[in-house]
Amino acid sequence: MSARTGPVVGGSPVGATVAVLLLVVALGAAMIPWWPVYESWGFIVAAAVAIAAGTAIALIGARRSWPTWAVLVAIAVAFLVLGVPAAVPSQAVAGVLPTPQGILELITATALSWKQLVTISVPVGSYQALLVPPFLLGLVASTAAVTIAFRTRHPVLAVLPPAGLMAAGILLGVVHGAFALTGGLAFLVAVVAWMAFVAVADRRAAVGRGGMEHALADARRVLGASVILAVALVGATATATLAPVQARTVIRSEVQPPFEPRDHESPLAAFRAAFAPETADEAMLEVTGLSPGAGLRVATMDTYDGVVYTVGGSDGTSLSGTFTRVPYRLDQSGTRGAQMRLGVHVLAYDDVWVPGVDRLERIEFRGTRAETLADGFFYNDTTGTAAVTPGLERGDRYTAWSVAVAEPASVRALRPGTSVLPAAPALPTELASLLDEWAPASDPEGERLAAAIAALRNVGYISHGTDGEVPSRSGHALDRLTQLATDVPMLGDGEQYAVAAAMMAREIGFPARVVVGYRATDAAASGSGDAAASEDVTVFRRSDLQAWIEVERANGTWIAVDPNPLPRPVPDREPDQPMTVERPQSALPPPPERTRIDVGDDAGDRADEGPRDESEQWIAVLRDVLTVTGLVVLAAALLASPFLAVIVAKLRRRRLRRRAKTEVERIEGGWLEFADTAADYGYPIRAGTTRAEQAATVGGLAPLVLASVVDRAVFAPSGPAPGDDERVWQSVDDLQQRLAAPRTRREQWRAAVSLTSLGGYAGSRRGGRE
Amino acid sequence: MTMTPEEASSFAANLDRLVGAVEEVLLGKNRVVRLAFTALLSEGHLLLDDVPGTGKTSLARAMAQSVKGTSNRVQFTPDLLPGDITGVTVYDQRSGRFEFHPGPVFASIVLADEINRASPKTQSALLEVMEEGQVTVDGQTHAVGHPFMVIATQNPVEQAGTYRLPEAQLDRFLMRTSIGYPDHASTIRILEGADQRAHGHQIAAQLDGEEIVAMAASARTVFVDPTIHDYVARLVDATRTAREVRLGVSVRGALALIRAAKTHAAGRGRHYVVPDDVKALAEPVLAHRLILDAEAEFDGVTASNLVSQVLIETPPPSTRQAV
Repeated sequence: MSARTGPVVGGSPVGATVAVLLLVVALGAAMIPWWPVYESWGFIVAAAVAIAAGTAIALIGARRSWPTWAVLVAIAVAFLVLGVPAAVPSQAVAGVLPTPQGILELITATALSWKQLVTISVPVGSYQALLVPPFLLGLVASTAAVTIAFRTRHPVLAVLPPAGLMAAGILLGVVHGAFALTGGLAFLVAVVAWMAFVAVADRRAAVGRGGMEHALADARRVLGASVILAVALVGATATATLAPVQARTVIRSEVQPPFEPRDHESPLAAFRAAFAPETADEAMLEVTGLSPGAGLRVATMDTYDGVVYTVGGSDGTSLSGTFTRVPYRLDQSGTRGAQMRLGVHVLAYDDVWVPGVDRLERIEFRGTRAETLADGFFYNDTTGTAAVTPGLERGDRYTAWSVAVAEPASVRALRPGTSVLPAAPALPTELASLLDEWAPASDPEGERLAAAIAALRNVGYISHGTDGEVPSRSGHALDRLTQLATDVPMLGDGEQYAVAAAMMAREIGFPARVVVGYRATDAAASGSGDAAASEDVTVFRRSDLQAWIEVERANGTWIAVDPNPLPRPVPDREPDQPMTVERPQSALPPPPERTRIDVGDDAGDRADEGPRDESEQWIAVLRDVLTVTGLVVLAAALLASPFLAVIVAKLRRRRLRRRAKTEVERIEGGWLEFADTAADYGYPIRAGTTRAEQAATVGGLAPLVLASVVDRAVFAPSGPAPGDDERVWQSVDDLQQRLAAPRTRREQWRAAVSLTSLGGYAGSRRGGRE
Repeated sequence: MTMTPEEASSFAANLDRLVGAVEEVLLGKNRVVRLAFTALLSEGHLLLDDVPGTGKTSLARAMAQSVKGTSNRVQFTPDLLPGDITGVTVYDQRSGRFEFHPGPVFASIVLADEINRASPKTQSALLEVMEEGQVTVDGQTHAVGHPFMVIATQNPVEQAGTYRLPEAQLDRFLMRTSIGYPDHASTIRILEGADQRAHGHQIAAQLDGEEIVAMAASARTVFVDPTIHDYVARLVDATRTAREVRLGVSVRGALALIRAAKTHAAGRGRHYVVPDDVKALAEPVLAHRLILDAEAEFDGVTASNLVSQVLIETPPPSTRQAV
């Protein structure tokens, strides 16, 4: 190969266009890992503008031979001019003109947005100036990639800037399995396509254009690229299917969240205070959009040390999840359920915990403190607990979009989930005895849980220990739970019943946690005396505070279970009379009013646990069979694709040879076809040998005759006679059949997929000048 | 004007007759005989690297007989003088004039046996006649006639009393080869009496001198595609750039290869040259023109090996578009 003195890409307008397109595709693929961070049109616009601007700068720089400093200046100007509308759209006039404030934020963000990006919950949308990192990196990477491609002698290195962009997206982004595979494969395809393109361009630059063998050499490069891709696809599919999922470390997972839930008092510890008579009727929250009778979660607690149940999630490695910032919205696409839009007006409520429902997607604060609250908002998606560091206070308003978990399951039909919660002390002996009595260990877990919950509701009585009530000690430490188990009658309130139920559930095998929130009562749905006005408005009073538990079912969803007895008169204390507790015939008594946090009916729940009837079983089996068959077919197709590619390449090669422009080329092509077939059958056809020598290698008279005929067509002054090409190809077909005839089908198949004739042998057998 | 296919067929038939006739004397040496006739019809000369007793004289005599020509044998010795080869001018007292007495070089086929045993001066006496087909003695030029061919033999230079042939003279030989000993089967046939040379057998003339001259002229009209010229040029270039070579093949060598390839092609019944013709003759035509580096020689590299390597490394043309 001759030494080159200039770049090989971009020699022709078509080549330059293809080069730019391939690089843009590679840059676009490198942006895929960034998508889960933003998930908004704003990101797409920023990425597109960055790539387009960078490409334009590089192309103009290449055309006008700009020095390096000029390219850098152009990048800086483009960043300042386009950065605000593309990456800080909120600070652009009419979405286009940058404002001074916007430029200031843009410049500031180049230094500060990186840390903010990895400490914030995703997706962030177009929040503040968080689009600056991908915009800046995209601008620089696209300029560098296109510049390398068009201005250096090593255009293959143009894949490095997109690779860096992609690596940054992976490190600064989030762990997202689907996008990891998609993005990786897309980038791989783009990179391999680019490398094949550069190899073809490089070769053409070195040996000139045109000619059937040149086209074949190009085809070999493309074939090589397709083989690499096929192997990569098979590998990636196999890895994704078979290999265990490994935890991936990204920068985000190493950064400490700035919210520490243990700095704040456990909502359960202050539970009893809500029932003080002087403040019990105080209106706490006015909520719209809540279904009648539904509850409102304040906080979820999964960490119990034997004294107090607290909100977990104090560090990044906690099993309770972490509190992260949610500036835009959370991806709850994996949660099945109904969309809810909750409007909350804070009245007397003042705490850091933000009441909400189930899985939060998005929250929007309104009012004078909206920005402060938004900046201080944190959410633990594992427990569904939200908090604002400044704390809520009277007058605050917010709207929360959530996904309400669908179809509450029957406790009886539940099977335990597999989540691992923070360790908790062992169940007190007295409670354990009660559990054994109410729910024998031989029963299924769901049956045991249902029996235990039903027994608590049947046996227990409610007393908050306030004036006028039967004395009842507050707290939920282990000794209080022991007292709850031994008192006759069983006396306590949500604080004790929820913790006892959670511990029993954990003893049975269910991951369980305690939820503190507001439960609607008949009196609660009375925002005003106007029935029409109060139809959608629920006012929670301080005494509506309640505690219940959530247990995880086998499919990973958390189901609310209320263990609290219904308020009813407490009987006189009869310590010497043992209480006989009948085992309940049903899991739960019919609730007075069906609520979202109550257990649902059995029929609906069992649909989740398994096929409803035999036909569904058949459908499930059929679906599984089809899935397995599809995967097998896909795997087989992927495995066979390199072989099919070889066969297709050979067929195309034959077609090119047979349909060559001139008769002499067709005749030469005929000989090459024969020689390639012989090489594929294992004859040692060496490069740099004449046709007669190759014919002698195969042996027999017919190849020698064919070689002499081809030589005459090529070297004789008169050239080939009319019809010689057809006769040559007929002879080639005959010879190919003769080569195949004595061989087994397996040998014929091996020859058909052999790479020998597609490798270096054919490449260096062009003859003439190298 | 180029040779026609019919002329090529006729040429091949005549050559086959000549070769067949000489093969009666030189059993099992078809290749050497064919090479010798190729040299003759290419108007070139042949150098044989051989030890005594391999049939060199028989070859020369049989070739001369087959073309109805004459043959002379000159035994080169250290005391041989140039005049002993070219001839001398003698004063005739009866006529009172100087008369030219032709030397042994005046024959159709001249066998210069053990040429490297003569002094360089005497060796050089062959230069003019080999190149120009004429002898100049005492200012008089005497043509040696047609056909004319020198078959020289040389002993291995390591033997005592030998002088290495000058490069200029080596270059004037179209080919160098060796007869070598016959193979086992041929040796048995010779011992059984099938070989005619032991009986002083005269082989029948197949063609006369004029026909040989015509064949040589016809061979020059064989068509050579530009890709073949390119191939030969690449081969020659490769010998010049090889690390083991001190002096590569000259332009005369390249011309000789083309000329010999033409004759070889016609001898195969073709009116055009193919790369196989070039490859078949590359070693005998090129090898003796190479002067190897002393270190390479010390390492055991031979000129023949080097030409073979060049042939492997230089791909032959297979298409017309290659140039």
